[in-house]
Amino acid sequence: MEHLRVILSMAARNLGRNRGRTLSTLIAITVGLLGLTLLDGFITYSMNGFRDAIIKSGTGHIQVARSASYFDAGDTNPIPFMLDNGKAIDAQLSSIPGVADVMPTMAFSAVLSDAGTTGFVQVSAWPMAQARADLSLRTVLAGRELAPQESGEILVGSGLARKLKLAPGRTLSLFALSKGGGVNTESFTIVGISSSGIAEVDDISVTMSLSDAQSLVGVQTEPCLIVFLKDTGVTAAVARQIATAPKGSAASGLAVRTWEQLSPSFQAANSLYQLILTVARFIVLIVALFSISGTLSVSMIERYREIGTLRAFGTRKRQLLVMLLVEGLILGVAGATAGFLAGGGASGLIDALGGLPMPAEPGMSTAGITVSFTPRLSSFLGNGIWLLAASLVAAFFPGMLSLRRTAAELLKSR
Amino acid sequence: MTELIRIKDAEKYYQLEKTEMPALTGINLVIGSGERVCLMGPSGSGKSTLLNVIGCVDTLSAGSIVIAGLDAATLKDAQLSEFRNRTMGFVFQSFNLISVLSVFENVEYPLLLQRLPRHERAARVEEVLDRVGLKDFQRRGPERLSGGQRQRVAIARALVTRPRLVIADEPTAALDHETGRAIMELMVEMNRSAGSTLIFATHDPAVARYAARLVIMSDGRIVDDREAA
Amino acid sequence: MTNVMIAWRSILRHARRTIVTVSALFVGLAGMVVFQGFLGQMMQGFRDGTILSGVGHLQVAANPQYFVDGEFNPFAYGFKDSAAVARTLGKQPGVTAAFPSTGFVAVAGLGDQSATLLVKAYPADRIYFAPSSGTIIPPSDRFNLGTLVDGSTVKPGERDCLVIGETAARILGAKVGNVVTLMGILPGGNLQGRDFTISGIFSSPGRDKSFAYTDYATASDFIGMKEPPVLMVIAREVRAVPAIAASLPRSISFRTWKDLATLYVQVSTILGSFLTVIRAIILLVTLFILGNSMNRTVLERMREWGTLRTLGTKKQNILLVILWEGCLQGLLGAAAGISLGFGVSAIIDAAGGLAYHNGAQTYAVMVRPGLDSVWLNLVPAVLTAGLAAVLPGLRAVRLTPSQCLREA
Repeated sequence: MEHLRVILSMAARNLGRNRGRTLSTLIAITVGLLGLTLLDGFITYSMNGFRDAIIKSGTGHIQVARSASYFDAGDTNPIPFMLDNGKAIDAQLSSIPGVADVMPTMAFSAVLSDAGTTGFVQVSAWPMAQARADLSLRTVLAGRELAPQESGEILVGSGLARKLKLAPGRTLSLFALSKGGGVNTESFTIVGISSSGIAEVDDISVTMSLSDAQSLVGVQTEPCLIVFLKDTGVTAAVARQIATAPKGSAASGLAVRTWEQLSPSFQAANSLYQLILTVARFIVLIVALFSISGTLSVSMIERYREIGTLRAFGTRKRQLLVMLLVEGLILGVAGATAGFLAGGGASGLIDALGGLPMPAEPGMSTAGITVSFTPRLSSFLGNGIWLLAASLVAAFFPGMLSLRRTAAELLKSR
Repeated sequence: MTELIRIKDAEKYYQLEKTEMPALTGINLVIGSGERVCLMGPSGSGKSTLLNVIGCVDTLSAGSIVIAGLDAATLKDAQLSEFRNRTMGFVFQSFNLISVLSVFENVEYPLLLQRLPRHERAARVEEVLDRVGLKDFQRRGPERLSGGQRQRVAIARALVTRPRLVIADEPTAALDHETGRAIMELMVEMNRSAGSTLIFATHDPAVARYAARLVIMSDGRIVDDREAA
Repeated sequence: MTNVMIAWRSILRHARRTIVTVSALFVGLAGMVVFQGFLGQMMQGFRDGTILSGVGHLQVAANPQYFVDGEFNPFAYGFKDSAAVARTLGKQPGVTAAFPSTGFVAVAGLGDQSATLLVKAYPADRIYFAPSSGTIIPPSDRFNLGTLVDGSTVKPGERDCLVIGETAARILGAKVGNVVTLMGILPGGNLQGRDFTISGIFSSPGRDKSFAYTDYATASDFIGMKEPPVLMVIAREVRAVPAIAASLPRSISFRTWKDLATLYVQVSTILGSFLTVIRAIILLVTLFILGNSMNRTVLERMREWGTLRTLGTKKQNILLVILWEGCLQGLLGAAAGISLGFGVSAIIDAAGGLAYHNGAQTYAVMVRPGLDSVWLNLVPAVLTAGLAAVLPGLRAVRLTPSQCLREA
């Protein structure tokens, strides 16, 4: 035990022999981790923002419908998917712990027609009083929000408004498929221009009240209920609970989809960003590994005679290897600590200064955003563990190489 | 006099690219307990190689070496390490002190490997440092010592485990004449009082005078083995 | 030349130290080359897929306003003589095909089922659907609009035929051979109806719910528009686009694929930024490691510098030697790393590429780093290595010759 203590002490002191070299290795690791932390923080913030935009501008955390086919085609033609007992389902879902609100919704394809234009649009309809509270990331850029008790009003998406030069006050017609197989048309007045933050949505979106939509399509109920949760983290658990609702209950047998399952573009973006993070992490770890390995290799070569002396006096190879591994580990721990402090500090500083202006995420409809950095604790810990593993590997190979020499060879070294 | 070391038909070759370079050829040597032996010869005569083999820090290419009744070739690396720690002490030409350890810690180190209790280690270290005249230098690092002082620390380290055998390879080569003389006198005196066997290598006849027996080497062979005058 | 030779030999003298010093750069840049190649291939696939799925390399219109609201109001923007423009375009060396396009929104009815469709129309010989099985080598002279799951595509000369999406077919309960009635909704609310035969059913993620395709002649006749609002241009390769655009007369408006493929451009920009960040991390690390190593080297050779100065060498020559040593180490590490990157990429490609899952499907992506992988990595690495040598170099020349000799 005492010998082990001295070995550990020697490991620490050996690193202090050449402070410049040790410091430059630590700085190298710190820079790597700083970059990784900021990258992770940026990606986490961006994806959280994207996620929140998806959830709070129309998708909700979970959607439930009568059958899985609704999620294939129900947002173009919802008529075959109307729920018979929406209110009972609403009540049952609202009683699940973690659920903040349940909102009926309907979406369908329609044709917008004006004097000189026709075009394909996607209509989303909600009870407006509820939508105001639940869909907090929908913004009205011009005009006003839909009045809860009024009918015949619509909001158009910002991209659509820009293309067709639409402004509040304009009246146009919407054609939609109605129950019975026909086409219904009604006139609506634009009261506002809205944005969800997602470009492909804002290019074709029209929003109206649920009652107006039901009137246009010729139905009395709705095909889908959106569930909003108090915490996004419980989405999977609540979805599972709904999917396994007791037989005979109102919610039994419903098709359930989470916001992630409903957003292929989020999944694609997330996959790509996670790939980038993984590659960046790999490169930083490899660079750290070679930095530590290089430092220890040179340090060991300088100490061959000392190592030979220790061997001559009876120190076992295993014990010397432990000393060398501990040196690597100390470098790794010190580097990781400095890296996390630097990364956390830089993130905090950027946030304190109000964030960093950056171009908008691909697929977003805003011109630019101010980004904060939200590094995750799990990411810190993950990176730390990988770095410590890399430190051990980095120390292992130079250690093994030097211990392969006989004590005599080591003693003969200059 | 009991036999401590028996070397029989020992040969040692080094591989240099495709050629085998002989370092030791046909070495036969017996050394008894308590002897004071000097290996003498010019540079490249095989003195250091023979010392390394006796010190079990290198292995023979052919032949055998038995030390304190144990055939070194039959021991595994861990066993050899323990054997060296308990049986031998080393003094090197360049002192080979561990630069990150203090004087006290350098001398204490071999005792740590034996897992002696702290108080016993401290007592032995202080005793041996006192004998070499460096008791007041315990906390100093090696970089703050003169050449002679460093070699004293090395001698203390070699003797702190009370070894049966002390091996010194050119112990005065890095020192001035006066200091070298003092070091040799110290080594001889401590060797006498401890009763251990001392084998040292040198090319300097003035240093060789401190031996009781001279083994002259040339081109890897023993060419003469006689009592010192 | 002498400075470079001295620097080169110094590096070789301490080969082990050089290898250890540049190992981080070597490994980091090898990883960068492979990753850059992978991303490049992915983006190229994304780009080419976007272009050939209906965007085209260029879109040419008689009126620039078409690119604002033409999708909703094609009737306002018809060409005067689109055939002449198409012929002129077709003669350009880089152009594979130039052809008209139009579209309309319609409600499709079959029995008591209905669906809203966005119908796109191109000449039949410019429409392609990949077979659902077998090796696919998509043609590069027509639009690749999806995978044919049943029936056939629109054939040249065939009229009033429609290829609809799988999901739309399911909504309608339609099969190949069924006749659906399309009610086209034209500007001003006018309706136009006609029966169409379903010749094929396609699948394409995101499109098979609402899109349908027919031949251009049928569509222009259906909506009563003789001249198309836009001509699509397919080029031999993306590099030919600027030359094609430059050859267009001023009276013609155009947009290139880059103007139209906004998502691609956004993704490409952000990926480029990420690659720059990762590269910066590698170079910063190299700066510190190499800087420390050079510092040590300089200190160890103080006697050498002192001797050279004593013999008459000027300070700037010594500084140059040290800078060259830095640059050469950077060059060695970067060149070796880039070569390794190319080698690893070749091995990966020989093994069939890397599997990538984009959230919906998994597919193989080749890794083919381009020449930009060389200069984008090599030049910054050499410059960074040179920068790392500056401070050590200044340290070497700060002292007088006798100070250098004493310092040793």
